[in-house]
Amino acid sequence: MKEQIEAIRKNAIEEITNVKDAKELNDLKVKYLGKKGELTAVLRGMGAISPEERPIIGSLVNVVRDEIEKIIEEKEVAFKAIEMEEKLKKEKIDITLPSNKVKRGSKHPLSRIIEEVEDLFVSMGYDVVDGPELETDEYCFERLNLPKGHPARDMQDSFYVTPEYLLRTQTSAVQAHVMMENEEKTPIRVICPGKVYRRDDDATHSHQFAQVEGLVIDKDISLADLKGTLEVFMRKMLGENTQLRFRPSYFPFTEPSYEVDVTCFKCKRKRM
Amino acid sequence: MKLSTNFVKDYIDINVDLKTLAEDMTKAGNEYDSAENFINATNLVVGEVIECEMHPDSDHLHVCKVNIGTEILQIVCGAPNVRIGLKVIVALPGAVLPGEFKIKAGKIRGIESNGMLCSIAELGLDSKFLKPEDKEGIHELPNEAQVGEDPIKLMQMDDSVIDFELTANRGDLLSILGMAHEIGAIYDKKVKEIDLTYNETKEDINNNFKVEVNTENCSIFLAKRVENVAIKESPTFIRNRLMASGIRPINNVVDISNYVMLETGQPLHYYDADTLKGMLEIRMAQNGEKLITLDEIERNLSSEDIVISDGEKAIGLAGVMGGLDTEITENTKNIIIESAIFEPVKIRKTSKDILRSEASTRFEKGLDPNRTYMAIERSCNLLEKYADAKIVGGLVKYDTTNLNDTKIDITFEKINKVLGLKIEKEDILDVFRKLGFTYEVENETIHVSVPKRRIDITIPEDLIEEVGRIYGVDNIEGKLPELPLKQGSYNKILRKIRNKMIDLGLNETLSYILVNDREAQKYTADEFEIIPLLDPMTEERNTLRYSMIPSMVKIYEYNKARNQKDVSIFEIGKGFFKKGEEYGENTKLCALMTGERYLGLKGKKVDFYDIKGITEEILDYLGYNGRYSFVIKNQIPQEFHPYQTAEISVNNDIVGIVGKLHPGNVKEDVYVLEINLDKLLEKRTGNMKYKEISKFPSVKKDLAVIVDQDITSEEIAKQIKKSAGSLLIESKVFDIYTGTGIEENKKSIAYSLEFGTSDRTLTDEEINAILEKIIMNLEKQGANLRK
Amino acid sequence: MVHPNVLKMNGYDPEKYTGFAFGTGLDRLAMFKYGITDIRLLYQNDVRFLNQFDRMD
Repeated sequence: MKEQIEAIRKNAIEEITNVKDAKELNDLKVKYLGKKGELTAVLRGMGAISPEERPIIGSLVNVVRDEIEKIIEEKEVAFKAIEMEEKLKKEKIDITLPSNKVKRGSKHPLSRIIEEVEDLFVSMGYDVVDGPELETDEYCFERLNLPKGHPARDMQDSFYVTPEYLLRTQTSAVQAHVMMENEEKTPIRVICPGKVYRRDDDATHSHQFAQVEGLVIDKDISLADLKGTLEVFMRKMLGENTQLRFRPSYFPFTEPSYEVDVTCFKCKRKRM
Repeated sequence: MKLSTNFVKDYIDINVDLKTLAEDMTKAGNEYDSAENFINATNLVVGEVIECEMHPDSDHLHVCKVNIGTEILQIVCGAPNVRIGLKVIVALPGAVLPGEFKIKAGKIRGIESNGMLCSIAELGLDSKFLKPEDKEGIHELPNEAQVGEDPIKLMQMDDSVIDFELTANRGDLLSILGMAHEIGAIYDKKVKEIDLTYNETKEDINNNFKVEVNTENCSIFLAKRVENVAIKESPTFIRNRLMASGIRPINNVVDISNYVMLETGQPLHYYDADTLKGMLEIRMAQNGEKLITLDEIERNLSSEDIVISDGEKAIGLAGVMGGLDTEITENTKNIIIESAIFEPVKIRKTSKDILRSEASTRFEKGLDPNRTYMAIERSCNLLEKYADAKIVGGLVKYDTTNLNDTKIDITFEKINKVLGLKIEKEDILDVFRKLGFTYEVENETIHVSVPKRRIDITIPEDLIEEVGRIYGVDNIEGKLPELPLKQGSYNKILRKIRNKMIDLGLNETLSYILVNDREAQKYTADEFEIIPLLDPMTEERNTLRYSMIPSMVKIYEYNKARNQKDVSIFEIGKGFFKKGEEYGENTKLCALMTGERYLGLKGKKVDFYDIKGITEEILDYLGYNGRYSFVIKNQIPQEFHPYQTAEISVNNDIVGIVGKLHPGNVKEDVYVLEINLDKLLEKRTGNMKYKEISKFPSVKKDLAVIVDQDITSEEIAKQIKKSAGSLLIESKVFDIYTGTGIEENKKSIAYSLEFGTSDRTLTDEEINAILEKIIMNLEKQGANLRK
Repeated sequence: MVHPNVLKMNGYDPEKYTGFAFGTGLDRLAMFKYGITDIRLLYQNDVRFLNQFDRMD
C-alpha cells in the first residue's frame, strides 16, 4: 500500500506542477483530495491491511494529503495573482489624458493688493472703513480745507453730477466722514481703500483708479510716525530694501505735506 | 513756470550747474519737468561765406566756402539768402541740433559738404517766436560778428531754462524775484535789489485822471501815466528772456509789461491813454454785457466777471485780458499803467469760463500788494530806459490792503514735535534767516515776521513746513506710532462673498462705473432717475450706473470681440440711484455667464439653472437657506428674457434678479445675476446650529405626476410639503419628462421623497397614508399620478 | 500732517491732537507686483488676463 500511496503522491505532484489554469487545478483537487478522490479511496481500502499497519498507513496518507494540499494552495495563490494582474491590465488607462476639473475662478489683481494692504494695516490695529463714491462737495473738498474757488481744486478735475454731488476724486473724502462720525472725538486709526475718479484718461492714467488713504489722529503723532508707518507699508509691498525719501509738496488738507519717493531693489526710483 | 537762469541771476549769485539747481529746488518741494539750455545745440560756430557758387546738379543748392577762423569749410546750402560776405551760424560735423539731429560730413548730390548753415528754426526756437525771415532762410548774423566765436553767446541766447511744475500754494514762485528768494534760501544767498529808479515830471496824474472802484472784488488799484513812448523792438535781452519764459515778444512797451510781470509776479495792463476818457471804473459786469478782448474775440460777460470800464462801457476783463479798443498799438504815445489785485476766486471763475492767461494764473493764486507798487515803479524804470518815456508825477491810488508782514508765533518744541526731529534752536532760526523772515525769540517762543511775498504762510504749521523744507527731513528716523494694541476690523462678509464666487469658478472683474446714458437707462429701475455727469469726457461714459449689468455686458462684449466666448465673471461694486433730490449708492453683486463653464473635455453650455445654482450657493452660504425663493413677476424688465428670468426674494422682499438677457439685444445666451447686497445683508440669518441626526432609518419613495406645462415644479413641491407634514424630510425633483406617452402640453415630474422622524421607524401604513394624501391633494390641483 | 483747519472743521481740537494722513495709488502697486505694464489691462477685463490670477499669491 505504501507503494500505492507513493505513486499517488508522485502523480499528484507532477500533475499539479504542470497544471495550466485554475479550473484544472480544481479538478485535480477533487481528484486527489475529494470525497471520491484517490487518497480517500486508499483510506477506504485500509480494511484489507493488518491492524498494526493501519496507523502507519493512516499517518502516511495524512502526510501526503498535507503535502498535496500545500502545493495546491500555493498554486491557487499563484493563479489568483495572475488573474488579478490580467484584470488590472485590462483596466489600464492613459494617465496623460486631461483631467475632469472644475474651472477655478480668479481674484482681480487689484482686489489682491487691497486685501494685502487691508491685512497689513488690520494687523497694526487699523480699522478698514468705507465711504461713498458719489460724494458731496462738502466732504470731498470743503471739509478738507479746499473751499470753492481754491486753486488746488485744479489738481483734481472732477466729475460733478450736480453742483453739490461729485464722484470722489480722492479717498481723503473719507477722512472727514470718520472724524465727523466719531462723536466722542477719540483717537482714530483707519485706512480706506477704494475707487476714485478724475477727468484724466491716457496711457498712464485711468479716469477710474484705486487709492488707499490712511489716517491716524492722536496726541503726539509726528512725521516720524508717518515715515515709520509708510516704511512698514512700502517694504511689505515692494521689498525689504525699500527706502523712502520725503519731498516737500503741497496738499491743502495737510501741513506740512510731502510726496514720498520710493527706491527699491527691484524698481529703481519710483514715486508712489 | 519756465525759469530763465540768466534772468534770475540778475537777482541772485549762484554758481551751480543746471541739473543741481533743478534737483535742489525739487528737494525743497519745487518739482521740475525739464532743465535744458535755451538753445539745445552743440558745435556751433560763427562763419563767413567767402565763396558761393551754384551746385552743378541743382537749381537751388549753393556750394559755399565758409571761413570759421581755424579753417575754411566747403558746405552745401539750400537757403535762398546765402551769399558772399554773410556771417552765418555753422553747425560743424559732430554737431547735434534739437530733435537729436546729428550733423555729419558727407556728400550732397555728389559734392562734399562739411557741416550745415543754420536757420533760427533749426536751433529749436518755438515756431510761435519765429519772425517771417526766420522761416525763409538761414539766420543772418550782424556784420560785427567775429568769425570763430560762439553764435549762441553772440545772440545772447546762452541761457538755460528750468520748467517747474509748481504746487498750487506757491504763487510767489510765478516771479523771478520769488524764485530768487527761494534759491537764496536754499543756497544761503542774499537777493539783490531791483532797480526802481526813474525821473518824474512835475505834473500830477490825479489832476486829470481818476479811478473808481465799485466792487469789493478789487483790493488795490494803482494807475500811473507815462508819455511820449517810442514804440520799437525791445532790446535783445528782453526779447530773449521773454522767449525763454514762453512769452512772445511784440514791441518794447508790451514786452516791458510782460517782463515786469515775470520779474515781480504782478500782472500789469497798459492802456493807450488817448483812448480813455480820463477815468477807469472797476465794477462787476452786467449779465450779457459784451467785450472784444485783445485777441479780437467777442466775449459774453456775466455778473460774476470783474471788468474795467472807461465810465461808459467795459474795456477790459479784469485780471484776465485787456480789451481791443484800448490796446497799445504802433501809434501809441501815452500810456496808463494799471497795477491791481483782484479777488482770486472771481478771476479763477472768469478764467475757467472765458480764458486762462499768464495774468489770470497769477491773480488766481493771490498776490503781494507790495509788488503792486513795485511793478508800477519797475515799469517806469524800464519804460524810461527802453521806450524813451516821460513819467508823469503822482499815482492814482485805491488801496484797502495790508502791506505789513504776517506775524506768527511758534515754539521750538512744536516744530520738533511735529517733524519728529531734534533740530537745534540755532538751526531753526537759521532757516528763517535764509528765507528772509525776521524774528524775535522770547523764551521758547519765536515771533516770526513773514514778508507779504509769502502769502501762502499764515499759520504755525506753515512755518514747520518751511523748516522741514529748508533744513531737510531726510534724517528723520521712522518709527511706529505708540498706540494701544488692538485688532483692526474690516468688512469680512464682502471678502467671503468674493472668495465664494471665485470658488464657484467665476473670474472677478473690475469694471468702470461710468456707462453710456442709454445703457444706464435700460437697467435703471422705474422708480429711479439716471445720473448723468455734468461734464463727461466721452459719450460712452457719461452716466453713473444704477445696475452693474451694463458694465458687465461691456466686458462680455470686449471679450467676444476678441473671440473669448466663455465668460463667467462677477464683481462686487457700487450702483447709484437718484430719487427726486436724493442721491445714494448701493453695494451690489453682479455676475454674468455665457459660453462653456467647465474646462476639460466635457463642455457644457451655461444655462439658467447654472446661474440659479450660483445664486443659491451664495444665499445658502450666507445662511439664507429656506428664506428665499425665485419669483416670477408679471412684468419682467424689458432687457431680460421674459420666460427665463426670476426675481430673488428673501424674507418676501425682492433683493435681486437672475435670468437671461433678452435675445433681441444679445445674440448669445447670456445669463446675469444681480443682488443688492445692502438690502440682502440687512436681513437676518439664523445662527449655525447642530441638529440631531435620527437614529432610525428613513424611507425613500418615488412619485411621478403628470401636470400641465405651465404648472411650476415649486407649486407641486409646495403641495407635497403641505400634504406630507412634518414627516417629510426632503423632496427632490429627479426627472422631467415630455414626449411619448405624455399628452401634448403636459409634462411628467418625478420626485424622490424621504420620510422619517427622530423617535421611531415609520411603518408602511403610515407612509402609504401620507402618499395617498399627497396624491389626492395633487389630483385636486389637476395633477395625475403617472403609473 | 493733518492740517489744523481740517481737524478743527471736523470737530478735533488741533491744540490737543495731531495726526498724519497718507494716500497712495494702488493700481501702480498691483502693476508693480504682477509685472503689468499698461494700466488699461486692469480695467479691460480680458478673460485671458483674469484667468492668470487663479492661484494663491
